Amino acid sequence: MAENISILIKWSDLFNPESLQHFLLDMRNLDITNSIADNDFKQTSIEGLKSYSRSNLLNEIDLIPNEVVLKQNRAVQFSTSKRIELKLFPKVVEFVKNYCPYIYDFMQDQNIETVEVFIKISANYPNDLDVINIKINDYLNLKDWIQKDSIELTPFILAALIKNFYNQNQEPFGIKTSSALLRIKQYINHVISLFDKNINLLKEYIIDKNNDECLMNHLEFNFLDNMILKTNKFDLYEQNLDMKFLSYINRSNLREKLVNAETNSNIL
Amino acid sequence: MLQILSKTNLDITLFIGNDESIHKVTGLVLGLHKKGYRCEGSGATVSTFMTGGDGNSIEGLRVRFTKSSDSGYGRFSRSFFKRKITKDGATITLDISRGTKLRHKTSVSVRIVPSSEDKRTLSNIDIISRYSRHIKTSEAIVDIGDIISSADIDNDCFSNKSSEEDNNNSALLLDTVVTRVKDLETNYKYLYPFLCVQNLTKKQSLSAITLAEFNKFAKQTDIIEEVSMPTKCARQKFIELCDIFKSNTVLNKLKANNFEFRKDARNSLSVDLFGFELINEINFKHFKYFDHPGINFCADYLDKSKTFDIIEAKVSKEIITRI
Repeated sequence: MAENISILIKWSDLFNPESLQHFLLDMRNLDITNSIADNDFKQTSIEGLKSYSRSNLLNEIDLIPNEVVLKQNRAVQFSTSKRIELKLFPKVVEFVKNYCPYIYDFMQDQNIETVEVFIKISANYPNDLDVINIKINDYLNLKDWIQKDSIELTPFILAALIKNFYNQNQEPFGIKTSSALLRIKQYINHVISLFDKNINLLKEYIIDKNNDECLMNHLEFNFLDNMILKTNKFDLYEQNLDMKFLSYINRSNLREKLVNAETNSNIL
Repeated sequence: MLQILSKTNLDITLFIGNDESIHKVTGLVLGLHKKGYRCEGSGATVSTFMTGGDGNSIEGLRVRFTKSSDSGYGRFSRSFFKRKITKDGATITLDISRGTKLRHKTSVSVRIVPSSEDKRTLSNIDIISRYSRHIKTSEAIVDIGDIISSADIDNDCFSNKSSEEDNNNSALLLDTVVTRVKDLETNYKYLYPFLCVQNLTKKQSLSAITLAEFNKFAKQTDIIEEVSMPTKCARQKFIELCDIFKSNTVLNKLKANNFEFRKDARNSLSVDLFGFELINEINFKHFKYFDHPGINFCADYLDKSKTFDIIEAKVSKEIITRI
C-alpha cells in the first residue's frame, strides 16, 4: 500500500548541499500529488505517495518560482536570466565596432542595446555531495556575476551578441557549467585581454577546421552548448574575429596557449 | 607554325607548333575528320622541334593522320588527337576524340590548368575584396582548380550529305565549335572570379562548363568585369528572393537566365550562376550585414545586367502556378 508523504523544504535548504542531496533522494520515489510554493515563508510544501514503482511527475513543479524547478526526471534545476545592457560592457561594443563591423551594423540597424543571458545548472540523484556542492557554488557565483553585471561576464556578453547576430534573433545565451566555462573563468583576465591588449593573438589565430572544439562536422558552430551558426561550409567565416574569439577561448589547451603567449610577450 | 611534312593518298603528316592557337588546331583536326582522316592517338603523335623561318627552334607536335572510312552498319572509325601546351604559364590540353567516349559522337574538349602566376595575381589584387568587405583573399581561395569545357558533335556532321543545305549546316556546326573554342581560349580568365568565390562554397578540383554555356558566359564578360559590391537595395532584394525560394514548399529547382536555384533535403539553398555554385547556405538573414561574396556577386550581376525583374517574375510565376 502506498504511503502518504508530506515534505516541507525551505528555499534556503535548496542551496545547502547536504539538504539538497536528501531532498533529491526523497523525491526519487515520490508520486507528487500537490505542491505549494509559499513566498511569505520562503518554503515549498510537497505532498505525494511513496511508490517504489517508477514514479510519475507529469509536469515540472516550481520549488522557488522563476528560479528552482523540480524537473520531470527528478533533477533540481537552478536557473536565472537577465537582460543586460551592452553599454555596461564597452569592451564588447568597441570590439565589434573595430573588428566585426557587420555585427556593429546589425546593432545599429536593429537598435540592439541589450542581450539576454541565462544560467541553467541541474543537480540530480545520485550526484555525490562534492558534485552538488560545486554545482550550487557555480550557480551562486554565476548568479552573482549576472546580478552585479560583473566584468567577468564580458566574453559571454560578446558570445550572446554573436549568437543573436548569426541567428538574427533575440534568443538568450545560456551559460552552463562545463569544463570550457571553468577554463574561461580560470583565465578570465587573459580572455578579457583578447578584446584589446592581446588582439593580435586573435588576428594571428587560425581555426583548425578539422579539430576545432566548437565546430561539428564543419557545419555547426557551438559555444557552451549554444548554437551560434549553422552553415554548409565554414570557410566563409573562418577569418571572422568573432568566430576566432569563441574558438580560441573554448580550447582545451587554453592554459598551454596562455603560457606560450606570456612567454613570447616577455621575450619581446 | 603549321607545316605539312608529308602527304600521300593514305596519310598526311603535320607539324603543329606550340605557338598555334587552340581554335586553329581544332579547326584543322575537325577539317581533317571531314576529309576522312583519323589520328590514332599517342602512337601517331610525337613531341618534337622544328626550325622556323627566322631560324628559331619551335617546339611542337608531329602528328600523322591516316585516311580511314566508316564501315557500314553504323560503325564509325575511331580517332583520338591530344595536344598539350603551356601558354602564359597555363597548361591547356586539347582532346578531340571520335567514337571513343560516345560511339556516334566526336568530342572536343579543352582542359585548362590555371598558371601559378595567375593565382598569385588574384591574391595580390585581393580578388574577393571586390565582392566582400569582410573576407580577405586567402591562399585557399585562389587555389582554383582546372577548367574543362567540351562539346559533342554528331558524327553525321562529318559525312558528305546529298543536299548542299545539309552540307552547309554541318559546316556551320563545325565552325560554331571552332568559334566557341576561340571564345574559351580568349576569355577563360573571366572565369577566375567565379572559381575563387566557388572555393568558399564548394571547392572543386575540376569545374566543367560546356562550350555552349561558355559562349553565353562570354557574351556577358563586359558585365562580369563590372560586377563588384551591390547596392544595399540590390543585395536586400536578392536575399529576399533567396528566402522566398527557400521557404517555398512546391518547387525544389528553378533555372532562369543563367541562374539555377536548388533546395536540398537539409533545407539549404544553393544558387549556381553559369553552372558555378556561388551560394550554398541555410540561413540568409545575416548576409544583410555580413558580405557573402557569392550573394553580392549574384545581386550585382542581376542589377547590372538589368535582369532582376525577369528572375523575380520567373520565381513568383513558377511558385504561384504550382500552389
